[in-house]
Amino acid sequence: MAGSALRRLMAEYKQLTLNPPDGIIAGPINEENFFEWEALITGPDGTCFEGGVFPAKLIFPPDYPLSPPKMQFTCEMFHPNIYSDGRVCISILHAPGDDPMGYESSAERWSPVQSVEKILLSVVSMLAEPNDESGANVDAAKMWREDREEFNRIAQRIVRKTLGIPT
Amino acid sequence: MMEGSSTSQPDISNLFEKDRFPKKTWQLVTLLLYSPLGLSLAIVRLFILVQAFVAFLILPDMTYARTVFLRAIGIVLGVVLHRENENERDNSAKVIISNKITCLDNIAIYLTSGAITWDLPSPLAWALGVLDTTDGRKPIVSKIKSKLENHTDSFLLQPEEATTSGRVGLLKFAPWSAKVSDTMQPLVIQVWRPRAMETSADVLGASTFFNVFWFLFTPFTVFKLKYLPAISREPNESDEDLLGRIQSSIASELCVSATKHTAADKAEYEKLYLLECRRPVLVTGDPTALARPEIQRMVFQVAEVLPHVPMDVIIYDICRTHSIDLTISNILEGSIPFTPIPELRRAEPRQTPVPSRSSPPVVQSLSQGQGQMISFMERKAKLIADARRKYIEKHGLVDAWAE
Repeated sequence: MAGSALRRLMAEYKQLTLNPPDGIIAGPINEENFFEWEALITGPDGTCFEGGVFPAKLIFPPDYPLSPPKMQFTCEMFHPNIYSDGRVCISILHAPGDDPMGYESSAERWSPVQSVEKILLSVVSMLAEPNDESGANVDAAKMWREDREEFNRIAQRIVRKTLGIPT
Repeated sequence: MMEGSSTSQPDISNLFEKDRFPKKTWQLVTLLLYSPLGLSLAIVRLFILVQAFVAFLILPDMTYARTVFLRAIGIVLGVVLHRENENERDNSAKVIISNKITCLDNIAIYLTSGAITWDLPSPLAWALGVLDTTDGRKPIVSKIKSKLENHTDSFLLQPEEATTSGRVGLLKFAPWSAKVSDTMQPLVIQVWRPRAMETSADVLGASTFFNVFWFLFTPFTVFKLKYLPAISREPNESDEDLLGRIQSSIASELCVSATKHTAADKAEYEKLYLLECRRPVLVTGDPTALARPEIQRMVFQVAEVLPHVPMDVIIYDICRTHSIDLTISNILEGSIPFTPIPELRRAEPRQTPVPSRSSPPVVQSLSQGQGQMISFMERKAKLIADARRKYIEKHGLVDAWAE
């Protein structure tokens, strides 16, 4: 089981290294353990997260790709779909069947045909367009709806923090 | 277990001959000098064999023809029998049970005892009309039994089911062989060839064709056959115990150990061994290929994806496949064995992501060449540095760090 997971992860790593999507880097933290990856995601242009480079950790289960990996940002994040501890709440990371929020259609769920690249691209679009119905971070969702200016300010602060630029 | 079977089991890798050729220089020299003669001998013998085979197919009388044919094969193959104690043959035991050294043991035994076997190379087995083995082991036991009841012929079993060198250990006897008869006479086979051109009769991983070819090439091959006292099943003795006793008696006569490795273990080990033999060690082939920029680029790209794979392995495979994808999947699927580069050598000078204005790591590592790739770390540092530069430019900030 773990063997096929490993092979799949190696193939995905190869794919991501040879044809990296714009502004995204992902790979195993160390080559002894292919089940723990680090990813860097660049905030999409034209959004409040523009220009930021956000580090995240991906943990793969031994039965990957049957089960989805878990993703957690390792930097400070303020976003309606990201828990305060950095965990990402996004439908592609949930296997059909477990639906914590009860609003996801199974079409956008995890299945073995998805990939790390698709997860990361989904996360990029999630950064661009938060889903304020999912309340992973209620404060952020509320502020996104009601006080967009303050939300953008916080986002800018986080962006600068990830780049090491003093605010 | 009885005496002769040592307490520690020899490793399966030691049970077989691996080199066809002798190790001493003078033997190699004689072999080389002899080779033109040997080759002509092999060709002549091959023609005689084919003729004998055709003649045998035409001859109507099966039993008679078989005897003549097998004797002809024996002579043509250069089988010399060294019968240690032929008068010890116990006619009450119809089944002879022996160890297996070469694929032609059974011919030698037939020549001395008339004991037949089904375990012949398939064209021979078909021509001789010996037992049809296509329908599995179970019916064979009953077929042999009925054959034994109807005829006075004796029958040869080689329950190791695979050859060994006969110098280190015996394979475990297949359990079905105990069902054939309750009284069996063990027969010990040893094989040798003239010292001056001592080639191994049966080499691990060699096909039957090559093994037979070396029979044809060598002037003669001596089969030393020695009967041991017949062994009968004791009351309530299990199959395993009976076979164990027989195996130990043959093993102690040969002064080797009776191991628990089976023929299936040998097949498994043989596969591994052959894989090991094909392992590429150094870059061979076209030395100019490396100089070509596209080959270099492909090698670097593969090394980037699989930094733990030694360069020479990648270069070797790229020169062969000319495709990054093929080589990567070859390596990932394990069809190219290699020793991974230890972590220490890879993790050399690697800074913490200090942002820099330009992107020298790329150029540097490429010019450093061997082994030092644009690592994941460096790519990360570059991404952050680029994003930072863009951000600063866009917002018209002064880069405090660069000052």
